[in-house]
Amino acid sequence: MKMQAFNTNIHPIWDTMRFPFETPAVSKLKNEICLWANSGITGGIVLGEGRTGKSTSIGMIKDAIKLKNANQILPSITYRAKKRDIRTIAQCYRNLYRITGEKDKKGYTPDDMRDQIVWYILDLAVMHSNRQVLLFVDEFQRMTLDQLIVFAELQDELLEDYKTLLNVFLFGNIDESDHLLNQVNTSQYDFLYGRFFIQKHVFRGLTSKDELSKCLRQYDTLRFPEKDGPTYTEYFLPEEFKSGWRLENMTDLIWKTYLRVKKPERRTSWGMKYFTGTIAPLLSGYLKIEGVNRVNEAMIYRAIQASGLITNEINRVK
Amino acid sequence: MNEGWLYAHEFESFQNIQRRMFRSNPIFCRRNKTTIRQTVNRHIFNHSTPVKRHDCRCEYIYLPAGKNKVPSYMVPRRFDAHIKKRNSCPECEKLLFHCDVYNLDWLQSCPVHDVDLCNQCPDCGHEWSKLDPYLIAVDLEHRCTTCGILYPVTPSLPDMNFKAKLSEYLSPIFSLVDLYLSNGFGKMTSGVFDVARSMSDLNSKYLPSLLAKTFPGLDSFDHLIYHTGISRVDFTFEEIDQENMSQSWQCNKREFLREARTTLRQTLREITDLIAYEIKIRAPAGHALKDDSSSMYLGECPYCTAFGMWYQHWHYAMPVKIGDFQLADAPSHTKTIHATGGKIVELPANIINTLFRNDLLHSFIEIMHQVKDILAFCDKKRQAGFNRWSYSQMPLRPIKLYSDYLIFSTGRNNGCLVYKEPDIMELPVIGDNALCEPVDSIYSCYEKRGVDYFINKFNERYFLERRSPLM
Repeated sequence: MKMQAFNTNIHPIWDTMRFPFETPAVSKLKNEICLWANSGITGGIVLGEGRTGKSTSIGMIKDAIKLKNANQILPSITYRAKKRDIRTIAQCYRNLYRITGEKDKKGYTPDDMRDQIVWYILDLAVMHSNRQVLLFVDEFQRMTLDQLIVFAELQDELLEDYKTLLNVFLFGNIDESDHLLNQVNTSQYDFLYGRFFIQKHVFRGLTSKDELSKCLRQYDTLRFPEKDGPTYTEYFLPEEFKSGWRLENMTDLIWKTYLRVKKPERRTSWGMKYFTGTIAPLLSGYLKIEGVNRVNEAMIYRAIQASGLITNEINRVK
Repeated sequence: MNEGWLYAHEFESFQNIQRRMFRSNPIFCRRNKTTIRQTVNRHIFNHSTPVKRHDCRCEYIYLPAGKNKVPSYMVPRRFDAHIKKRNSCPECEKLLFHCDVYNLDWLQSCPVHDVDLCNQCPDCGHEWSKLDPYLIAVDLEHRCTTCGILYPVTPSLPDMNFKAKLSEYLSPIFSLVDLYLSNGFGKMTSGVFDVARSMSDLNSKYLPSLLAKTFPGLDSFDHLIYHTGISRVDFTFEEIDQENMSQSWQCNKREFLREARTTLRQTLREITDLIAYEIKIRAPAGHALKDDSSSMYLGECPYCTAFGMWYQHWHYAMPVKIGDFQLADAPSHTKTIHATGGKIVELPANIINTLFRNDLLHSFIEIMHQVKDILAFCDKKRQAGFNRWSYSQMPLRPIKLYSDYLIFSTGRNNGCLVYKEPDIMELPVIGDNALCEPVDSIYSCYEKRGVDYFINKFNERYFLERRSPLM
């Protein structure tokens, strides 16, 4: 029997690997990074709370950043930082070298690997008929500031020798990267601050009722399979959908319930992971089994609870 | 594995591709020699399987297809021994660019920079790098700023507009060819010679195949016959009567034909010289052919160069491709030769096809040998008092030509008979069953085993015996 690694026919609302749609926060981030890339700046920092969908959004925007003049898609590389007991610059080069698809060897020096990475980036740029490449560094709070110098070195070499610009965008958790942000403000790291830390963007989840409404509307319009399949809502509630009921109608109820949770949980925004984790059981469970007319605040609360957003209750039980 | 697209360029040579791949993978250049050789063999040289002709002029050699294929690792080294020094422009080398067109001997200056082409670096005196897998470590250690592999460090290759400049450069030469052969070939070049168009059609970087494809009239040699005057003969095959051939004539024939062949070669050489001279005196300064381009078997062949004609040395006998077009059979118009006297010489299709498959020019020469021989034979017979020859059909068997061997199908069990050192002159008399005995007793077993079996075995022997000193 042929084994399949991933079920590719899984419904998008159960697909944990990506958002089922482009959220307002992702659109904002995309516009921001597009602006940065077009203005030719060397880098920027994107901070956000955990589980808001920063890493997932990288996957969504990395192939969508365009140069406005030429209308060309900019090539990109995604680097996911790793935390080890000993964090060295060589280790950073080694991880970057692995991204090029080559096996690293023990004898390779950082200089060897740097040259190879430079040519990998140049190849990427030339293949896209560009002189600019984007580098997304995910979980940058796991790195040290000395390791960030690697990106500065690459930038220097590419810019001076080959007139190619490497935009470095650091994505990190807002709380965990506090120590780095404090450290980089010192005069010792002025050159790093100027390159990567001047441009800032805070990535949030859902912050308003409008945004929630937009997201819920996506469930009513997007289809699976994409071309001729039913909409996400119709897939689970075919009869109700035909009779004119839409998930967007529940915006008020869902927002009201979320506000009940927001304050005790001290949330500034509704993380996308928790949001999709709420809608999925609501749509496929409560609404499907109980019926759309019987849904109440308690059910939505249970769905939010199932998504893992509510933690204080657990503490209370303890 | 990085490709070094920053330095990639249209029409770059195979060696240039290898050189830019080294440049873009500096990590391979810092290891010890053994590692370099292993890595290079594994990564860079495995990128391409075709093998180039001995002087880069005639594109790649493609090995026999299918089960007759010779292991590719055996081939390059054999041809490496014959590779001549490559020509290049020092300014282009600094920009990490080389085109195979530079290897054409009649091209003496760079179309882009207008600098004299040379076969060694003016800075360090080394030959231009050939990136031989066995000498690669030496090449990597050699750090000349002009020809070294690790140079240049320029932001990118400037737009050299190579296509347009080459077109402009070549157009006077081809218009001269057009002028000289206008009667026979018709109008070959209309307007400016457009390299870009031809090359994109061909998907090939090499000029001879480019020309062969651009001027389709070149694959027919009847115009050449007309111009050379070799075939100004007044005979037909009908005049030959094999039954009347005497034994005594057969003994004298070989000697006589040798003489005829020498004459033919001289004639061809004269024609070649004439064409070369025409091009030389009319070409603009610096574009002349070399003076030593007299022989078609040693050194440059202006015939091949000027007309994009394919040729192949007899001892290399391998099937050849022109671009993506496999010469399986000769075109129909090559099957007849129109003599100037208005008579038509018809050659058996199997002879033409077999010869055409190997090479056009060689076919031409060989067929001319045959024609000349038959002419001589007729003259001899006439002198002997025979006035009329009657011969109804050519009793030839299907034949295959493979290197120095002619393989005759026997028609039974796909069997074959093999002749060593074939003499094309024997073809008309092969119909005699008494002559269809294998000359080489080693190959007599193939009568029952078939042609393919022979070719396989032959390949094995051929490459084992004739390996070059480098192997």
